[in-house]
Amino acid sequence: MNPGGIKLNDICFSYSNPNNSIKDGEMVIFKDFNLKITASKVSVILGPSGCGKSTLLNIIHGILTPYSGTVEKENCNAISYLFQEPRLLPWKTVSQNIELILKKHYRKKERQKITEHYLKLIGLGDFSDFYPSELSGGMRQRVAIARAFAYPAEIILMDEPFQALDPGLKLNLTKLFSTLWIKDNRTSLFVTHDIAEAIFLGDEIFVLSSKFPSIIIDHTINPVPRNNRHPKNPESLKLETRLYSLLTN
Amino acid sequence: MKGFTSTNKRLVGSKLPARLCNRKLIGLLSTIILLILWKVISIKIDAAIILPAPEDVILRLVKITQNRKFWLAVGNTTTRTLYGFILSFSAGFITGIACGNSSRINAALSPFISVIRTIPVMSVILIAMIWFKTDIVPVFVCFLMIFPIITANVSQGIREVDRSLIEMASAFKLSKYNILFHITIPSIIPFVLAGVKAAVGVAWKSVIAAEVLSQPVKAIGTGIQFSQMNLETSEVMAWTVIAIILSRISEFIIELVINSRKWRLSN
Repeated sequence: MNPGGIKLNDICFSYSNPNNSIKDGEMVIFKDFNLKITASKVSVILGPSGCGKSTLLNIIHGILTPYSGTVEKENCNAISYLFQEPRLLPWKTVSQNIELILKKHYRKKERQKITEHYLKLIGLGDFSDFYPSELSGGMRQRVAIARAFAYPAEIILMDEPFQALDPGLKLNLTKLFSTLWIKDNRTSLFVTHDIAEAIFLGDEIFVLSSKFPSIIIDHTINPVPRNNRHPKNPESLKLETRLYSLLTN
Repeated sequence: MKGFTSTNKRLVGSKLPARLCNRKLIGLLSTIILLILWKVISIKIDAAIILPAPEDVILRLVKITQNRKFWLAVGNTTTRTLYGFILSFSAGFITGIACGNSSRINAALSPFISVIRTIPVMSVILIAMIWFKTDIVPVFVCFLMIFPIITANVSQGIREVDRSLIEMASAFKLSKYNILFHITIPSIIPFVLAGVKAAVGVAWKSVIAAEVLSQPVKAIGTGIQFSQMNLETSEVMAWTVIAIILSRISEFIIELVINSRKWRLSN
Protein backbone atom coordinates (compact mmCIF):
# COMPACT_ATOMS: atom_id res chain seq x y z
CA MET A 1 0.00 0.00 0.00
CA ASN A 2 1.41 3.37 -1.00
CA PRO A 3 -0.88 5.98 0.50
CA GLY A 4 -1.23 9.32 -1.22
CA GLY A 5 -2.49 12.70 -0.19
CA ILE A 6 -5.84 14.38 -0.77
CA LYS A 7 -6.39 17.73 -2.47
CA LEU A 8 -9.65 19.66 -2.51
CA ASN A 9 -9.72 22.38 -5.15
CA ASP A 10 -12.33 25.19 -5.10
CA ILE A 11 -15.10 23.01 -3.68
CA CYS A 12 -18.63 24.48 -3.66
CA PHE A 13 -21.39 22.59 -1.89
CA SER A 14 -24.89 23.20 -0.60
CA TYR A 15 -27.46 20.67 0.64
CA SER A 16 -30.53 22.52 -0.60
CA ASN A 17 -29.52 22.73 -4.24
CA PRO A 18 -26.75 20.27 -4.92
CA ASN A 19 -27.17 19.98 -8.68
CA ASN A 20 -27.31 23.62 -9.65
CA SER A 21 -25.31 26.73 -9.11
CA ILE A 22 -25.64 28.72 -5.90
CA LYS A 23 -28.65 30.99 -5.72
CA ASP A 24 -29.08 34.12 -3.61
CA GLY A 25 -30.00 33.54 0.03
CA GLU A 26 -29.13 29.84 -0.05
CA MET A 27 -27.06 28.35 2.78
CA VAL A 28 -23.75 27.41 1.26
CA ILE A 29 -21.66 24.95 3.26
CA PHE A 30 -18.47 25.32 1.20
CA LYS A 31 -17.55 28.03 -1.30
CA ASP A 32 -14.28 27.83 -3.20
CA PHE A 33 -12.95 25.64 -0.41
CA ASN A 34 -9.36 24.39 -0.67
CA LEU A 35 -7.57 21.83 1.48
CA LYS A 36 -4.41 19.75 1.15
CA ILE A 37 -4.10 16.61 3.26
CA THR A 38 -0.55 15.28 3.51
CA ALA A 39 0.07 11.64 2.64
CA SER A 40 0.92 9.16 5.43
CA LYS A 41 -0.11 11.57 8.19
CA VAL A 42 -3.07 11.87 10.51
CA SER A 43 -4.78 15.16 9.72
CA VAL A 44 -7.48 16.49 11.98
CA ILE A 45 -10.32 18.80 11.04
CA LEU A 46 -11.31 20.55 14.24
CA GLY A 47 -14.46 22.57 14.49
CA PRO A 48 -17.68 23.08 16.43
CA SER A 49 -20.66 20.77 15.88
CA GLY A 50 -22.60 21.51 12.70
CA CYS A 51 -19.80 23.33 10.88
CA GLY A 52 -19.68 20.89 7.95
CA LYS A 53 -17.01 18.45 9.15
CA SER A 54 -18.97 15.28 8.28
CA THR A 55 -20.08 16.85 4.99
CA LEU A 56 -16.42 17.37 4.15
CA LEU A 57 -15.66 13.68 4.81
CA ASN A 58 -18.59 12.61 2.65
CA ILE A 59 -17.39 14.85 -0.19
CA ILE A 60 -13.89 13.36 0.05
CA HIS A 61 -15.31 9.83 0.09
CA GLY A 62 -17.57 10.53 -2.86
CA ILE A 63 -20.87 9.92 -1.02
CA LEU A 64 -21.70 13.60 -1.68
CA THR A 65 -20.80 15.35 -4.91
CA PRO A 66 -19.80 19.02 -4.90
CA TYR A 67 -21.40 21.02 -7.68
CA SER A 68 -18.12 22.61 -8.53
CA GLY A 69 -14.48 21.97 -7.73
CA THR A 70 -12.46 18.79 -7.70
CA VAL A 71 -11.26 16.21 -5.18
CA GLU A 72 -7.91 14.64 -6.01
CA LYS A 73 -6.90 11.44 -4.25
CA GLU A 74 -3.39 10.24 -5.15
CA ASN A 75 -2.70 6.48 -5.35
CA CYS A 76 -6.11 5.74 -3.93
CA ASN A 77 -8.07 2.61 -4.85
CA ALA A 78 -10.25 2.41 -1.75
CA ILE A 79 -11.26 4.50 1.24
CA SER A 80 -12.00 3.15 4.69
CA TYR A 81 -14.46 4.75 7.08
CA LEU A 82 -14.79 4.85 10.84
CA PHE A 83 -18.18 6.19 11.94
CA GLN A 84 -19.40 7.84 15.15
CA GLU A 85 -21.16 4.58 16.03
CA PRO A 86 -19.69 1.10 15.41
CA ARG A 87 -22.35 0.26 12.76
CA LEU A 88 -21.83 -3.49 13.11
CA LEU A 89 -24.40 -5.91 11.71
CA PRO A 90 -26.18 -7.36 14.78
CA TRP A 91 -26.91 -10.70 13.05
CA LYS A 92 -23.25 -11.35 12.23
CA THR A 93 -20.46 -12.32 14.58
CA VAL A 94 -17.46 -10.07 15.14
CA SER A 95 -15.34 -11.94 12.56
CA GLN A 96 -18.20 -12.14 10.03
CA ASN A 97 -18.63 -8.35 10.32
CA ILE A 98 -15.02 -7.78 9.32
CA GLU A 99 -14.92 -10.52 6.68
CA LEU A 100 -17.98 -9.13 4.91
CA ILE A 101 -16.27 -5.89 3.88
CA LEU A 102 -13.22 -7.84 2.66
CA LYS A 103 -15.28 -10.09 0.35
CA LYS A 104 -14.63 -8.05 -2.75
CA HIS A 105 -10.88 -7.95 -2.18
CA TYR A 106 -9.71 -11.32 -0.82
CA ARG A 107 -10.39 -15.06 -0.99
CA LYS A 108 -11.96 -16.76 2.03
CA LYS A 109 -8.70 -17.99 3.60
CA GLU A 110 -7.03 -14.60 3.25
CA ARG A 111 -10.10 -12.88 4.71
CA GLN A 112 -10.02 -15.16 7.74
CA LYS A 113 -6.28 -14.56 8.22
CA ILE A 114 -6.62 -10.76 8.00
CA THR A 115 -9.62 -10.74 10.36
CA GLU A 116 -7.83 -12.92 12.90
CA HIS A 117 -4.73 -10.70 12.68
CA TYR A 118 -6.62 -7.46 13.36
CA LEU A 119 -8.79 -8.98 16.09
CA LYS A 120 -5.61 -10.09 17.87
CA LEU A 121 -4.14 -6.60 17.46
CA ILE A 122 -7.14 -4.99 19.15
CA GLY A 123 -7.15 -7.61 21.91
CA LEU A 124 -10.40 -9.29 20.88
CA GLY A 125 -8.95 -12.50 19.44
CA ASP A 126 -11.10 -14.61 21.78
CA PHE A 127 -14.30 -12.80 20.82
CA SER A 128 -14.41 -13.56 17.10
CA ASP A 129 -17.54 -15.72 17.44
CA PHE A 130 -19.40 -13.26 19.67
CA TYR A 131 -22.32 -11.21 18.41
CA PRO A 132 -22.15 -7.39 18.82
CA SER A 133 -24.99 -7.57 21.37
CA GLU A 134 -22.71 -9.66 23.60
CA LEU A 135 -19.99 -6.98 23.63
CA SER A 136 -19.67 -3.71 25.54
CA GLY A 137 -19.88 -0.37 23.68
CA GLY A 138 -16.09 0.06 23.83
CA MET A 139 -15.46 -3.45 22.48
CA ARG A 140 -17.85 -2.81 19.60
CA GLN A 141 -16.01 0.38 18.67
CA ARG A 142 -12.72 -1.57 18.81
CA VAL A 143 -14.18 -4.02 16.30
CA ALA A 144 -15.16 -1.04 14.11
CA ILE A 145 -11.55 0.22 14.32
CA ALA A 146 -10.28 -3.25 13.34
CA ARG A 147 -12.71 -3.30 10.42
CA ALA A 148 -11.50 0.13 9.24
CA PHE A 149 -7.86 -1.00 9.31
CA ALA A 150 -8.52 -4.46 7.86
CA TYR A 151 -10.09 -2.87 4.77
CA PRO A 152 -7.39 -2.55 2.10
CA ALA A 153 -7.68 1.22 1.75
CA GLU A 154 -4.98 3.81 1.28
CA ILE A 155 -7.05 6.45 3.07
CA ILE A 156 -8.98 6.22 6.35
CA LEU A 157 -11.72 8.76 7.09
CA MET A 158 -12.96 9.07 10.68
CA ASP A 159 -16.12 10.87 11.71
CA GLU A 160 -15.81 11.57 15.47
CA PRO A 161 -15.49 7.85 16.26
CA PHE A 162 -14.82 8.33 19.98
CA GLN A 163 -17.40 11.03 20.63
CA ALA A 164 -19.95 8.95 22.59
CA LEU A 165 -17.44 7.18 24.87
CA ASP A 166 -16.42 7.90 28.45
CA PRO A 167 -13.00 9.64 28.93
CA GLY A 168 -11.10 6.47 29.97
CA LEU A 169 -12.39 4.45 27.06
CA LYS A 170 -11.78 7.36 24.69
CA LEU A 171 -8.11 7.49 25.76
CA ASN A 172 -7.72 3.70 25.36
CA LEU A 173 -9.23 3.74 21.89
CA THR A 174 -7.24 6.73 20.67
CA LYS A 175 -4.09 4.88 21.87
CA LEU A 176 -5.28 1.76 20.04
CA PHE A 177 -5.81 3.80 16.90
CA SER A 178 -2.26 5.19 17.15
CA THR A 179 -0.83 1.69 17.66
CA LEU A 180 -2.57 0.40 14.53
CA TRP A 181 -1.81 3.51 12.49
CA ILE A 182 1.95 3.39 13.17
CA LYS A 183 2.11 -0.05 11.46
CA ASP A 184 1.40 1.27 7.96
CA ASN A 185 1.05 5.08 8.23
CA ARG A 186 -2.08 5.34 6.09
CA THR A 187 -3.29 8.80 5.13
CA SER A 188 -5.95 9.51 7.74
CA LEU A 189 -8.43 12.30 8.08
CA PHE A 190 -10.11 12.66 11.43
CA VAL A 191 -12.90 15.10 12.21
CA THR A 192 -13.66 16.06 15.78
CA HIS A 193 -14.73 18.90 18.04
CA ASP A 194 -12.54 17.59 20.88
CA ILE A 195 -9.29 19.58 21.21
CA ALA A 196 -7.51 16.94 23.37
CA GLU A 197 -8.29 14.22 20.83
CA ALA A 198 -7.06 16.43 17.99
CA ILE A 199 -3.74 17.09 19.76
CA PHE A 200 -3.26 13.43 20.72
CA LEU A 201 -3.93 12.02 17.26
CA GLY A 202 -3.25 14.76 14.73
CA ASP A 203 0.04 15.42 12.97
CA GLU A 204 -1.64 18.35 11.26
CA ILE A 205 -4.63 20.21 12.64
CA PHE A 206 -7.00 22.33 10.53
CA VAL A 207 -9.53 24.51 12.33
CA LEU A 208 -12.82 25.04 10.53
CA SER A 209 -14.87 28.20 10.99
CA SER A 210 -18.21 28.02 12.79
CA LYS A 211 -20.02 30.13 10.19
CA PHE A 212 -21.02 29.14 6.68
CA PRO A 213 -19.57 29.01 4.15
CA SER A 214 -16.91 27.13 6.10
CA ILE A 215 -13.29 28.15 5.74
CA ILE A 216 -10.05 26.93 7.27
CA ILE A 217 -9.18 29.54 9.91
CA ASP A 218 -6.01 27.86 11.12
CA HIS A 219 -3.52 25.20 10.05
CA THR A 220 -1.05 23.89 12.64
CA ILE A 221 1.59 21.20 12.43
CA ASN A 222 1.68 19.35 15.74
CA PRO A 223 5.14 20.09 17.21
CA VAL A 224 4.99 17.11 19.59
CA PRO A 225 6.15 13.75 18.21
CA ARG A 226 3.53 10.98 18.35
CA ASN A 227 5.31 8.96 21.07
CA ASN A 228 5.57 11.99 23.36
CA ARG A 229 1.97 13.16 23.24
CA HIS A 230 0.31 13.34 26.64
CA PRO A 231 -1.96 15.93 28.29
CA LYS A 232 0.79 17.40 30.51
CA ASN A 233 3.36 18.01 27.78
CA PRO A 234 4.04 21.82 27.83
CA GLU A 235 3.97 22.05 24.01
CA SER A 236 0.65 20.23 23.92
CA LEU A 237 -0.74 22.54 26.61
CA LYS A 238 0.36 25.59 24.62
CA LEU A 239 -1.28 24.20 21.48
CA GLU A 240 -4.44 23.36 23.44
CA THR A 241 -4.71 26.95 24.71
CA ARG A 242 -4.27 28.33 21.20
CA LEU A 243 -6.84 25.97 19.68
CA TYR A 244 -9.27 26.68 22.51
CA SER A 245 -9.08 30.44 21.91
CA LEU A 246 -9.54 29.88 18.16
CA LEU A 247 -12.67 27.81 18.71
CA THR A 248 -14.20 30.10 21.33
CA ASN A 249 -13.59 33.30 19.41
CA MET B 1 -15.72 -10.35 29.99
CA LYS B 2 -16.91 -13.75 28.77
CA GLY B 3 -17.61 -14.80 32.37
CA PHE B 4 -19.31 -11.52 33.15
CA THR B 5 -21.68 -11.88 30.20
CA SER B 6 -22.65 -15.44 31.01
CA THR B 7 -23.19 -14.60 34.72
CA ASN B 8 -25.52 -11.80 33.70
CA LYS B 9 -27.44 -14.12 31.42
CA ARG B 10 -27.73 -16.69 34.17
CA LEU B 11 -29.13 -14.06 36.56
CA VAL B 12 -31.70 -12.93 34.04
CA GLY B 13 -32.42 -16.50 32.99
CA SER B 14 -33.05 -17.79 36.54
CA LYS B 15 -36.38 -15.93 36.76
CA LEU B 16 -37.59 -17.00 33.35
CA PRO B 17 -38.45 -20.72 33.94
CA ALA B 18 -40.47 -19.77 37.05
CA ARG B 19 -42.45 -17.23 35.04
CA LEU B 20 -43.00 -19.71 32.21
CA CYS B 21 -44.16 -22.38 34.69
CA ASN B 22 -46.57 -19.87 36.19
CA ARG B 23 -47.99 -19.01 32.77
CA LYS B 24 -48.35 -22.67 31.78
CA LEU B 25 -50.13 -23.41 35.08
CA ILE B 26 -52.60 -20.56 34.52
CA GLY B 27 -53.22 -21.82 30.97
CA LEU B 28 -53.83 -25.36 32.22
CA LEU B 29 -56.19 -24.13 34.93
CA SER B 30 -58.25 -22.04 32.51
CA THR B 31 -58.51 -25.07 30.14
CA ILE B 32 -59.77 -27.27 32.99
CA ILE B 33 -62.33 -24.59 33.97
CA LEU B 34 -63.50 -24.36 30.34
CA LEU B 35 -63.91 -28.16 30.10
CA ILE B 36 -65.86 -28.24 33.38
CA LEU B 37 -68.12 -25.42 32.13
CA TRP B 38 -68.62 -27.27 28.84
CA LYS B 39 -69.55 -30.46 30.71
CA VAL B 40 -71.96 -28.60 33.02
CA ILE B 41 -73.71 -26.83 30.12
CA SER B 42 -73.96 -30.08 28.11
CA ILE B 43 -75.63 -31.81 31.11
CA LYS B 44 -77.97 -28.85 31.51
CA ILE B 45 -78.95 -28.81 27.80
CA ASP B 46 -79.06 -32.60 27.66
CA ALA B 47 -79.09 -32.77 23.86
CA ALA B 48 -75.96 -34.21 22.20
CA ILE B 49 -77.09 -32.83 18.87
CA ILE B 50 -76.74 -29.25 20.20
CA LEU B 51 -73.81 -29.62 22.59
CA PRO B 52 -72.19 -33.01 23.06
CA ALA B 53 -70.22 -33.70 26.25
CA PRO B 54 -66.45 -33.20 26.05
CA GLU B 55 -65.74 -36.92 26.59
CA ASP B 56 -68.02 -37.76 23.62
CA VAL B 57 -65.99 -35.45 21.42
CA ILE B 58 -62.75 -37.04 22.66
CA LEU B 59 -64.11 -40.56 22.02
CA ARG B 60 -65.23 -39.55 18.52
CA LEU B 61 -61.82 -37.98 17.92
CA VAL B 62 -60.10 -41.24 18.87
CA LYS B 63 -62.51 -43.16 16.64
CA ILE B 64 -62.00 -41.04 13.53
CA THR B 65 -58.23 -41.07 13.91
CA GLN B 66 -58.34 -44.89 13.65
CA ASN B 67 -59.70 -44.61 10.11
CA ARG B 68 -57.18 -44.52 7.24
CA LYS B 69 -59.35 -41.96 5.44
CA PHE B 70 -58.82 -39.54 8.31
CA TRP B 71 -55.07 -39.45 7.74
CA LEU B 72 -55.63 -38.96 4.00
CA ALA B 73 -57.92 -36.01 4.81
CA VAL B 74 -55.33 -34.49 7.17
CA GLY B 75 -52.61 -35.05 4.55
CA ASN B 76 -54.68 -33.42 1.79
CA THR B 77 -55.65 -30.40 3.89
CA THR B 78 -52.05 -29.96 5.11
CA THR B 79 -50.75 -30.17 1.52
CA ARG B 80 -53.28 -27.56 0.34
CA THR B 81 -52.38 -25.26 3.24
CA LEU B 82 -48.68 -25.67 2.47
CA TYR B 83 -49.19 -24.99 -1.25
CA GLY B 84 -51.31 -21.92 -0.56
CA PHE B 85 -48.89 -20.69 2.08
CA ILE B 86 -45.72 -21.18 0.02
CA LEU B 87 -47.23 -19.57 -3.09
CA SER B 88 -48.62 -16.64 -1.13
CA PHE B 89 -45.42 -16.22 0.87
CA SER B 90 -43.29 -16.13 -2.30
CA ALA B 91 -45.59 -13.68 -4.08
CA GLY B 92 -46.07 -11.56 -0.92
CA PHE B 93 -42.32 -11.47 -0.26
CA ILE B 94 -41.46 -10.23 -3.75
CA THR B 95 -44.36 -7.74 -3.79
CA GLY B 96 -43.41 -6.54 -0.29
CA ILE B 97 -39.80 -5.93 -1.36
CA ALA B 98 -41.01 -3.99 -4.42
CA CYS B 99 -43.50 -1.93 -2.35
CA GLY B 100 -40.94 -1.24 0.39
CA ASN B 101 -38.30 -0.07 -2.07
CA SER B 102 -40.48 2.02 -4.34
CA SER B 103 -43.16 4.43 -3.18
CA ARG B 104 -44.59 4.42 -6.73
CA ILE B 105 -45.09 0.64 -6.81
CA ASN B 106 -46.53 0.88 -3.29
CA ALA B 107 -48.98 3.57 -4.40
CA ALA B 108 -49.94 1.53 -7.48
CA LEU B 109 -50.53 -1.74 -5.61
CA SER B 110 -52.00 -0.52 -2.31
CA PRO B 111 -55.61 -0.16 -3.65
CA PHE B 112 -55.56 -3.82 -4.81
CA ILE B 113 -54.04 -5.01 -1.55
CA SER B 114 -56.69 -3.05 0.43
CA VAL B 115 -59.45 -4.68 -1.62
CA ILE B 116 -58.00 -8.17 -1.05
CA ARG B 117 -57.68 -7.43 2.68
CA THR B 118 -61.30 -6.37 3.07
CA ILE B 119 -63.01 -8.82 0.72
CA PRO B 120 -65.14 -11.35 2.70
CA VAL B 121 -63.72 -14.91 2.79
CA MET B 122 -67.09 -16.35 1.71
CA SER B 123 -67.14 -14.17 -1.43
CA VAL B 124 -63.63 -15.33 -2.34
CA ILE B 125 -64.63 -18.98 -1.83
CA LEU B 126 -67.80 -18.67 -3.91
CA ILE B 127 -66.03 -16.84 -6.74
CA ALA B 128 -63.18 -19.36 -6.65
CA MET B 129 -65.69 -22.21 -6.88
CA ILE B 130 -66.89 -20.74 -10.18
CA TRP B 131 -63.35 -20.33 -11.51
CA PHE B 132 -61.43 -23.39 -10.27
CA LYS B 133 -61.68 -27.14 -9.64
CA THR B 134 -62.67 -28.11 -6.07
CA ASP B 135 -59.07 -29.13 -5.20
CA ILE B 136 -57.67 -25.74 -6.21
CA VAL B 137 -60.30 -23.57 -4.44
CA PRO B 138 -58.79 -23.91 -0.89
CA VAL B 139 -55.27 -23.20 -2.23
CA PHE B 140 -56.47 -20.08 -4.04
CA VAL B 141 -58.44 -18.84 -1.01
CA CYS B 142 -55.45 -19.42 1.28
CA PHE B 143 -53.21 -17.58 -1.22
CA LEU B 144 -55.49 -14.57 -1.35
CA MET B 145 -56.14 -14.37 2.39
CA ILE B 146 -52.51 -14.30 3.53
CA PHE B 147 -50.99 -12.39 0.60
CA PRO B 148 -51.78 -8.92 2.10
CA ILE B 149 -50.40 -9.94 5.51
CA ILE B 150 -47.02 -11.04 4.10
CA THR B 151 -46.81 -8.09 1.68
CA ALA B 152 -47.55 -5.53 4.41
CA ASN B 153 -45.02 -7.01 6.82
CA VAL B 154 -42.22 -7.35 4.26
CA SER B 155 -42.71 -3.82 2.89
CA GLN B 156 -42.75 -2.39 6.41
CA GLY B 157 -39.56 -4.34 7.15
CA ILE B 158 -37.88 -2.87 4.08
CA ARG B 159 -38.85 0.65 5.14
CA GLU B 160 -37.42 0.03 8.63
CA VAL B 161 -33.97 -1.17 7.46
CA ASP B 162 -31.35 0.79 9.41
CA ARG B 163 -30.11 3.47 6.96
CA SER B 164 -26.84 3.81 8.87
CA LEU B 165 -25.98 0.17 8.04
CA ILE B 166 -26.68 0.77 4.35
CA GLU B 167 -24.46 3.89 4.53
CA MET B 168 -21.71 1.78 6.12
CA ALA B 169 -22.06 -0.82 3.36
CA SER B 170 -21.88 1.87 0.68
CA ALA B 171 -18.84 3.44 2.34
CA PHE B 172 -17.05 0.08 2.10
CA LYS B 173 -18.31 -0.33 -1.50
CA LEU B 174 -20.30 -3.51 -0.82
CA SER B 175 -22.07 -4.82 -3.91
CA LYS B 176 -25.87 -4.57 -4.25
CA TYR B 177 -26.03 -8.37 -4.00
CA ASN B 178 -24.15 -8.33 -0.67
CA ILE B 179 -26.27 -5.46 0.67
CA LEU B 180 -29.45 -7.39 -0.20
CA PHE B 181 -28.36 -10.74 1.26
CA HIS B 182 -26.31 -9.55 4.23
CA ILE B 183 -28.20 -6.42 5.33
CA THR B 184 -31.68 -6.04 3.83
CA ILE B 185 -32.96 -9.62 4.13
CA PRO B 186 -31.60 -10.23 7.68
CA SER B 187 -33.09 -6.85 8.72
CA ILE B 188 -36.57 -7.81 7.58
CA ILE B 189 -36.55 -11.32 9.13
CA PRO B 190 -38.33 -10.18 12.37
CA PHE B 191 -41.08 -8.58 10.25
CA VAL B 192 -41.35 -11.66 8.01
CA LEU B 193 -41.59 -13.98 11.02
CA ALA B 194 -44.27 -11.78 12.61
CA GLY B 195 -46.16 -11.91 9.29
CA VAL B 196 -45.78 -15.69 9.03
CA LYS B 197 -47.00 -16.10 12.63
CA ALA B 198 -50.08 -13.98 11.90
CA ALA B 199 -50.68 -15.71 8.54
CA VAL B 200 -50.40 -19.34 9.58
CA GLY B 201 -53.66 -19.38 11.56
CA VAL B 202 -55.46 -17.56 8.74
CA ALA B 203 -54.08 -20.13 6.26
CA TRP B 204 -55.60 -23.12 8.11
CA LYS B 205 -58.90 -21.30 8.70
CA SER B 206 -59.29 -20.23 5.07
CA VAL B 207 -58.33 -23.64 3.63
CA ILE B 208 -60.81 -25.48 5.88
CA ALA B 209 -63.56 -22.93 5.22
CA ALA B 210 -63.02 -23.32 1.47
CA GLU B 211 -63.05 -27.10 1.81
CA VAL B 212 -66.39 -26.97 3.67
CA LEU B 213 -67.97 -25.23 0.69
CA SER B 214 -66.05 -26.69 -2.25
CA GLN B 215 -66.07 -30.29 -0.93
CA PRO B 216 -62.86 -31.74 -2.34
CA VAL B 217 -62.39 -35.50 -1.88
CA LYS B 218 -60.99 -36.40 1.57
CA ALA B 219 -60.35 -33.15 3.41
CA ILE B 220 -60.88 -31.84 6.95
CA GLY B 221 -63.44 -29.30 5.69
CA THR B 222 -65.29 -32.02 3.77
CA GLY B 223 -65.31 -34.14 6.96
CA ILE B 224 -66.81 -31.23 8.94
CA GLN B 225 -69.48 -30.61 6.30
CA PHE B 226 -70.34 -34.32 6.03
CA SER B 227 -70.68 -34.68 9.81
CA GLN B 228 -72.84 -31.53 9.99
CA MET B 229 -75.17 -32.86 7.31
CA ASN B 230 -75.58 -36.06 9.35
CA LEU B 231 -76.17 -33.99 12.49
CA GLU B 232 -73.12 -35.58 14.13
CA THR B 233 -72.23 -32.57 16.29
CA SER B 234 -69.58 -34.48 18.27
CA GLU B 235 -67.84 -35.38 14.99
CA VAL B 236 -67.97 -31.76 13.78
CA MET B 237 -66.29 -30.78 17.04
CA ALA B 238 -63.75 -33.62 16.76
CA TRP B 239 -62.73 -32.39 13.28
CA THR B 240 -62.54 -28.85 14.68
CA VAL B 241 -60.22 -30.01 17.47
CA ILE B 242 -57.98 -31.59 14.81
CA ALA B 243 -57.89 -28.31 12.87
CA ILE B 244 -56.96 -26.45 16.05
CA ILE B 245 -54.19 -28.97 16.84
CA LEU B 246 -52.71 -28.65 13.33
CA SER B 247 -52.80 -24.86 13.50
CA ARG B 248 -51.18 -24.86 16.96
CA ILE B 249 -48.42 -27.25 15.79
CA SER B 250 -47.51 -24.92 12.91
CA GLU B 251 -47.61 -21.88 15.22
CA PHE B 252 -45.41 -23.75 17.70
CA ILE B 253 -42.81 -24.48 14.98
CA ILE B 254 -42.74 -20.80 14.00
CA GLU B 255 -42.40 -19.75 17.64
CA LEU B 256 -39.46 -22.15 17.98
CA VAL B 257 -37.74 -20.39 15.08
CA ILE B 258 -38.52 -16.94 16.53
CA ASN B 259 -37.21 -17.89 19.98
CA SER B 260 -34.13 -19.81 18.82
CA ARG B 261 -30.98 -18.84 20.72
CA LYS B 262 -29.02 -17.68 17.67
CA TRP B 263 -31.88 -15.48 16.60
CA ARG B 264 -32.27 -13.83 20.00
CA LEU B 265 -28.52 -13.21 20.30
CA SER B 266 -28.23 -11.57 16.92
CA ASN B 267 -31.06 -9.15 17.65
